[in-house]
Amino acid sequence: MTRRTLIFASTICLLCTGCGRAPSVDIIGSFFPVWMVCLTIAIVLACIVRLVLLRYKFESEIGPVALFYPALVILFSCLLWLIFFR
Amino acid sequence: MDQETQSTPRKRLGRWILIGVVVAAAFTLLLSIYQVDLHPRTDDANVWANYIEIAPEVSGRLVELPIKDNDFVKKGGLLFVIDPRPYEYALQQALADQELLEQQIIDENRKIAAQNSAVDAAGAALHVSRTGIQTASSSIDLAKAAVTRAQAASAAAEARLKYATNDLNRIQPLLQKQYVTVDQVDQANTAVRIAQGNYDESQAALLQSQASLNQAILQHEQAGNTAVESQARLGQAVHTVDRVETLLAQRPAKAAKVDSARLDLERTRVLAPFDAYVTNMNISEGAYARPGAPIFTLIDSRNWYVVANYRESKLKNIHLGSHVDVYVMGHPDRKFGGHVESIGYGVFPEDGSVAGGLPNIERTLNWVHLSARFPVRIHIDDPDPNLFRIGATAVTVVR
Repeated sequence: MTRRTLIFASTICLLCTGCGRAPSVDIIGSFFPVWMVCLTIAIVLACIVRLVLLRYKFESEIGPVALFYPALVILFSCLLWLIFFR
Repeated sequence: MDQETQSTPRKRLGRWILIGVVVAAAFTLLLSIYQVDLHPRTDDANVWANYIEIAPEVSGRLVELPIKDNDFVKKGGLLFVIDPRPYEYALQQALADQELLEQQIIDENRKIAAQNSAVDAAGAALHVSRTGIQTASSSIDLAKAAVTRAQAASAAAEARLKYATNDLNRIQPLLQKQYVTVDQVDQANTAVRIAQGNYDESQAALLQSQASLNQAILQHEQAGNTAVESQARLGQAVHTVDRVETLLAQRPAKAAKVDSARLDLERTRVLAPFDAYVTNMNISEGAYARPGAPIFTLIDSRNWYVVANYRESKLKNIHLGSHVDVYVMGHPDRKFGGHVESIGYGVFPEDGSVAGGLPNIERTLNWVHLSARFPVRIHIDDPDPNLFRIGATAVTVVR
């Protein structure tokens, strides 16, 4: 229960600090929009999810992966964007 | 069989995960789109402040330049001093001219007083000559009376001469018959001679008095001429009186010259019109300043802005006074507050150019049109002077 409260509190904190950073990221002198960063991280996260699913031999149970992974990428990137840069 | 029973709940779980992920993705995507639409954001924004180019209003060499490039100057702070000596001399000259004019006015007033006295004198002369006319008239009357008297005397003398002559003529024939004595005849003769003498004398007196009359008439004429002459003199004196108005009319011009010289002298010291940052200053003392030629630039540090270019479709959610989160990319972690001060009312249209006096319209027709973008001027409420520089990249989110 305490763990769940901790996660909830940290999520709230993250949501509150969501707009504390510029929605552009400086990468070697060029300003990239944060949605690109979110998308990249989401792709990496999706790859990790796929590795986890393969580890537990679960990927075949999910269904059409061509729908699942793009949706997963969209979900991760939108969540990241909404939490950190809304 | 065991595998079958084990795989069915796994398959169902997998199916639910798929549906959940797809639905959540769609939901978060819609939420993101809604957020972006509700709070328009752009990274095409620049920090901005009003600035002026400082140009001197008088020419000359800079003798003092206490500021350096990128300095901060307070309002009223000294920016530079142009060599003031020529303007000091010009002011002295203008003051001297003004004083000279005042002295000329005093002189002219005295001259006018003298001329007015001359007018009075001419008036008096005219009066004297009029009196002379009257005197001459009286002399004429007097002379006429003398003539009349002389004529009367002459007539009396003539009558007496006639009587004496007749008496002589009567008694002379009686001498031969001895009725009268020689002595009586001699007496009558003497009486005739005396009467003749008297008569001649009276005639001379008459002539003299007539001559006097003529003289008196001539004197009267002369007095009349003198009167005309003195009248003319009076007119001349009246018309030659100088007027001081022409000099008085120069007073405002001289005063304006003094003011102008004083203003020029003041303009040799150039002060900062507001709290500002000095920029684009690449000169030192001794530089020659020309009127109207900018020397350096002052950035008005009282108000900082961010000019953000928003697509026209986003403008409907941007209202005057809306709060704006501003991030300056020099320090992306810091959020500054601002509010929308104004939204641009014009940008150059796509087909707005004119070539050779006619509108220049492209012949190609695009199927897809890019939306125009308008500059939105955002006033920063809490600027940090270390971060805000004109042209710095910024990101804005309208809340």
